[in-house]
Amino acid sequence: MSLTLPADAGEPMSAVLTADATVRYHKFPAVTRQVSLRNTATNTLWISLDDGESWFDCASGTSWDDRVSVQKLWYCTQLGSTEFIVIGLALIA
Amino acid sequence: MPLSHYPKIVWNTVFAWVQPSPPDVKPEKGRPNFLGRAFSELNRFDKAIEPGESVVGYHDAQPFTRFYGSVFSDQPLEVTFSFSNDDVDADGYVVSDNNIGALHYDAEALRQLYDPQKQGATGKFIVMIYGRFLRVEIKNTGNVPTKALRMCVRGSVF
Repeated sequence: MSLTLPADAGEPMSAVLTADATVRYHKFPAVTRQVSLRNTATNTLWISLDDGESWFDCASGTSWDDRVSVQKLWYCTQLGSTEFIVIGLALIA
Repeated sequence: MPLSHYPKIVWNTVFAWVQPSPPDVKPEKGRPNFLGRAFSELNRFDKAIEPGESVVGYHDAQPFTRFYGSVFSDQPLEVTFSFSNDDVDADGYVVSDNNIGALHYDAEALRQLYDPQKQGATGKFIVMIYGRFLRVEIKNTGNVPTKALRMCVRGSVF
């Protein structure tokens, strides 16, 4: 690993996903240090970081990001389907 | 600290009925999939609308402030936009894909009579939202089945 990298650098783990009424999860290849996502389609996306215990919504056309250490992201919609791109940042080994 | 950006989407097609259906073409390798999915997954056209028959689409209206788009057909059509403000259905269940068609669409926002001879006057629309859920109905008021149909409803966030 190059010593010139900033301290918060990470390896991107990107995926383009489709959500619908069925609750599914996306498993990152490694535990994240940060997760960003953008809801690129026309329905509200609901996401959970704790196996569906708590949910929050990401409106159509909006983004969300936070510094969280997770390996799975649960997602669904109330109505129809929506696409989103999610990028998890993993620590560089 | 979570951060939510102001909404703006490139792909804002809420409904599309396109007759005849165009073929799907794979996205160019190494470039973004600008449409987000195959057009056939967006296109609600299934078969020609028979005289007196209707097709209906439902969608969440909440993400948008207005709906706009265009109509074209070889047949006269009656296009109706209506909205529901039900938060639950008559049995108390939260709105889902299974019961969105059973809500009360009490707010009729626009009933447009499309005339193929008056494309300029009747072939476009803009609709303010009057409720949480949108219902769009296209009725063939002509005498023969549609041979061509292009209706696209787009959502505007501004």
